[in-house]
Amino acid sequence: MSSMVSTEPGTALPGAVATVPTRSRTSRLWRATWPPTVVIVGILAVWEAVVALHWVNPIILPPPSAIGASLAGLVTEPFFWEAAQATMTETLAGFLIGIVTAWMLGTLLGMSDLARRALYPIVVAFQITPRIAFAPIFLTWFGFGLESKIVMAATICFFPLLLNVLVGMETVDRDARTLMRSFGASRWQEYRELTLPASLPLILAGIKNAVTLALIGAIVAEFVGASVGMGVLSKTFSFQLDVASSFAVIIALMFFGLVLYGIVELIDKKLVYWRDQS
Amino acid sequence: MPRDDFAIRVAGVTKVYNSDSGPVAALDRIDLDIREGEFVSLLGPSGCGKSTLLHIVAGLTEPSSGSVDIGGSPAQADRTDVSIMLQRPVLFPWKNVLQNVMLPAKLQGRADAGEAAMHFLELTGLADFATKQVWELSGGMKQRVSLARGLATDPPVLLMDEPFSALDEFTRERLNVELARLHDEHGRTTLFVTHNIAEAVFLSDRIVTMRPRPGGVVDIIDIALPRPRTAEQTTSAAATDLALKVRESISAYL
Repeated sequence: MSSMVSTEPGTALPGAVATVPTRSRTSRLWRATWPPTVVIVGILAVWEAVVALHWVNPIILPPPSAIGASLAGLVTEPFFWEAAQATMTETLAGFLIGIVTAWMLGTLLGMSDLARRALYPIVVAFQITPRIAFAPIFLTWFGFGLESKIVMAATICFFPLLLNVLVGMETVDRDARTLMRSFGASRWQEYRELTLPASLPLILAGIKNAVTLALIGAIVAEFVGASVGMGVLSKTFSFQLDVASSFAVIIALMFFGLVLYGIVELIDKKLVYWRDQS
Repeated sequence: MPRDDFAIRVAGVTKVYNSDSGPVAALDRIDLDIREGEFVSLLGPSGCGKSTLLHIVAGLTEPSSGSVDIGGSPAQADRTDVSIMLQRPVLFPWKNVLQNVMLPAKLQGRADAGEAAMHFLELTGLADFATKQVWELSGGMKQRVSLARGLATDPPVLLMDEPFSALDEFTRERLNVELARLHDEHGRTTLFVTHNIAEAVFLSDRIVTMRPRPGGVVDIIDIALPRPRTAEQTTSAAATDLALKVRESISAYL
């Protein structure tokens, strides 16, 4: 065994020598991916086995293989893409409306002490309220079309981001503010050169949160009343006891969510390149 | 321009803060005259109001009574002829070194902000670091960038609030030598807050020693050491004597 721990080049472990210089992207990627891969594969295997052994009724809990087959079938259906397009439109439109209005209002409130003190409790109250409870009202106001879903998606992601914008503006370094005063910066200059970039990390964190919330808002609003969309699809399949297809819709939604989140994450990395350094 | 154009005159400045246990006098009737081009240090134990006085001179804090005049006009935060440097470097991580240094000149709408910043980066030995990100720099380098930024608008008056107190002893000494050199070359009127006696002796023409509760001036000590100042002077007999004299003046308040 002593030769195993030898530090001489010739007797070192062959594998170790080869991996030391290439311990770069691939090895880091491998390090990050193998533990969750093992867990996922393990869960799917147990799930498949439990159903195959008839411990669970496959109608109640279809095996992963059936869900995969449903998904493969669904993506060839035009109605699936129609539903996907509707839900994505609702999500993206709601998300964009939500973040733009939250950012604008948050910035205005952050600039005026009186306005912030006047509206802050109301914002917090709405933040605590389960905003999805508004879905039936929005349905009454805006109808069965995309509009009520867009409004729901916008509403659900508006308040958390508004709070982040406000907190971001409040947490700007006091010494930095002092310096900007001594530089003779105007209000607008102070906002552009200090407040905005300093609060950007929190704003982007809020936007990352908002994109997943918008998807939730759109789906819930579809549950409450819609004629087209992924939420409608999932509900319909469940009523037909086609649980495998219902799961397939959820998998597809998970994939959409990941793509949206990934895009925002990428923007965050580009825009707030100093995040991990400061 | 007459040479006393950028003299600082502090007249009867009092600062009272309201605390839960009643009003607290941070500064009690301070009078101080600083000549154009003079390097004056405010030195004393914490609570003596030296930083408060500096902030009042900078126009960042309003005195409760009294007045501060710089070159004949009242102290004001946004004066472009007065620059302040804080204890922390306060650099913006979304800007690189050059962009940080040129910020004040850029805010003033000066077209030559970039060239001026490069000039002062060279003067502070940072020319090779212009395009570095601030998080790549050590603490001493960051404070050096902060100094370059303070100088980048070429202000006749420089106010410094314990700028090197967070640095290790060797870095502090190196930056003191550079600050002394910059002062000898350009002769800006400088007000420097510190609690380090050796540093104050090395840099100053005069040291104002202060006492706490209420903050007031104990003594004003002339530092008649030859200029240009060199690192060797810090251990000279004259410097040691002066350091002792400074220490004695505030020993009752330590």
